[in-house]
Amino acid sequence: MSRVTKKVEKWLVSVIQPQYVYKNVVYSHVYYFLTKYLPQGFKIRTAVYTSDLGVPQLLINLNGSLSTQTQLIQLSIWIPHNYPYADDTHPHGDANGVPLVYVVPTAGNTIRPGNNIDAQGKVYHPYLAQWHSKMYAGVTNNEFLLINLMNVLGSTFSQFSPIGSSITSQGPQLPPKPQMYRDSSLSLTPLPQREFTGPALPEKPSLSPTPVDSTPERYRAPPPLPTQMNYNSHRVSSVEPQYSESNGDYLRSEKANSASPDPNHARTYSHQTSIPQESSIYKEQLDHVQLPYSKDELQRKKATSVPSPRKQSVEDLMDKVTLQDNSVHNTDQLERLAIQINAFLDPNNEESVDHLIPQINEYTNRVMALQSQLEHHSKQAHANLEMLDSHVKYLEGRIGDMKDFNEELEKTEKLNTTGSDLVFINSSRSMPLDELVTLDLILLHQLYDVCSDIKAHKDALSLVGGNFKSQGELITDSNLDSCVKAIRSLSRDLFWLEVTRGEIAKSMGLDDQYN
Amino acid sequence: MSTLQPLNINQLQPFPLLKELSALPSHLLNQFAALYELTKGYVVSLDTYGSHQQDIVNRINENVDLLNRILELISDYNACSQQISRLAQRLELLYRQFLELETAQYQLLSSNYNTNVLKSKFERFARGSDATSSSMAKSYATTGAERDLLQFLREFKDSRKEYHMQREKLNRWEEERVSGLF
Repeated sequence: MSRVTKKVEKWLVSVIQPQYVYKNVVYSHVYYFLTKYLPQGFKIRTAVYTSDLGVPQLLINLNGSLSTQTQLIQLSIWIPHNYPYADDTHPHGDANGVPLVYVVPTAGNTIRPGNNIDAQGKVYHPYLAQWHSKMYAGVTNNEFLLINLMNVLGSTFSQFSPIGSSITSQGPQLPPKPQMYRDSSLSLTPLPQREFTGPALPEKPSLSPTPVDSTPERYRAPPPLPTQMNYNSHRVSSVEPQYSESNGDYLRSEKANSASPDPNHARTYSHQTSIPQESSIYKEQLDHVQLPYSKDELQRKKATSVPSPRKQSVEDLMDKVTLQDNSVHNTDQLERLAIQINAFLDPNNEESVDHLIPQINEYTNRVMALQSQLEHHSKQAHANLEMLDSHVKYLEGRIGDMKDFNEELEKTEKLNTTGSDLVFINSSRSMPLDELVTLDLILLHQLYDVCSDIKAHKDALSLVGGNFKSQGELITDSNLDSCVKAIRSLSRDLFWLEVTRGEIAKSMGLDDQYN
Repeated sequence: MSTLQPLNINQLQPFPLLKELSALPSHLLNQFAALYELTKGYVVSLDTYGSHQQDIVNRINENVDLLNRILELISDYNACSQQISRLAQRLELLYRQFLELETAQYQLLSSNYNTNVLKSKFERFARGSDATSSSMAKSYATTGAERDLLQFLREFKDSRKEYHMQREKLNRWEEERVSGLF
């Protein structure tokens, strides 16, 4: 364990303060994590995490290498805003309480999807699932900590490495996939048509080894020839909802189907699409697709693998003539047309609207990142403002109190200079000056009291005898008796006081001084 | 917000051609296919292209909204920073005020309750007691015949006792052998 620097601590507090719900918990967990993993090269930062729902959030990100028994695995851990307590009301797919762990492949390596990891590198683990179900607000559970998560990941990845070399071994040749599956961007709806009545699919063009353009090669190439693809029959069987809504396109397609072309095309197609017919995925998709044919019809078509034109439909002579004409010469024409269309759609073409897409995407990312950062800074600034405002108000109150206190002290000072026998504590309270000082012990106080009394008696005797300062004697012929009586009384008291003093001094061990 | 993808010909779905186009005689269709401007016009007229264009426009509008939000944030941030700056100035002022008040308070406390001040006050108080008893004696000397000697001596003795007690306390205070408020 090592200490986290003050700078990192302050940064962590400033990041957690405005956005995180359970600030103390996040701070303690992350701090604890950093004490262990900072020396091992883990780094902490904030970055924009875009959830599965497409919501960008500025989250704490911990990234670094986890050392297993066999290799180093680069990890990226995101701490959600409501860490560590998952909230059931949170939308599914959003960052919710539980830390999000991703394995990041290093150069020359690739992700190996498995039980605990998907193709994007996201880690799934029963520990994380338990974290989600067992940790809820108000519960303290020391089982679910980032440190423990790292231990769990370490043991899991030791058994199954999520990283593999990007060089693949030469396994048995897989059967070629149908064109439809190669292009994930295509909708599922055209599948049945391709199986039963569609034209032969074109060969997928080989990918350039160093593609410069982001557009897939096959989109830049001219479209397949009509004789191979037969767009008319393709569109007829295509039952995409959007298609049926699009200004009668569907009707037009139906007509085209009714004038179904050369059966040779269909035969060729069924021959070439024999592999997709065996695909179980393909069969599954069939159940979810609305087909213009009944299931029996489909079965018949599947059995024969030869599409038959819909004989029931009304024949459109105009279309028929057109298609028959096209069947003669539209190959070259449509190919040229497709080339022209591709040329227009080429993102490098300044006339194409797609020419601006990279720029728009870049600006979008920048704007979103900027907005996210500004939101964060704005929140922080508002929090600082509130804090500062409360501090200023508090200090103004204190300063006001100080002013009042000083005014009171000024009044007290005036009173203390005027009153000689009193000490004023404030303008309304005072204490006798004589009580300001007391002797240490009660016995000592009694001793000094007796001593003072003795001295007072002696002064009185001196005054009577004319020895007090410069006073004349008080004894006259008229008060001789009173003087004798007074001296006798004072002397008697003095005697007893001296006895008392001796006793006190004796009990205090001060015999030498006072006897 | 998902990333915009360029439109490709499969998504564009330009085929089959409109009936009006596909019904054209072959030589006209040849011309149509050969002319880039016509093809462009055809592509632009397609719903899929329009929809794609609308997506881009929507994205730009979203970006504009975000930029507006950023402008609001910046102006809000500026206002906030101005307030913070004003409060910081206020803090600076309060600190100076605090220093002045602290100095004044220290002086006032010192003039009221400083040990030396109190000691000298106590000394004056003791001297006052001494003077009181002396003046009592003088007063009796001038008007003594009219007063009871024993009563006077009792009062004088009490006054002297008070003085001696104060004197003793003061002596011990000088030696710092007292307790009490200080």
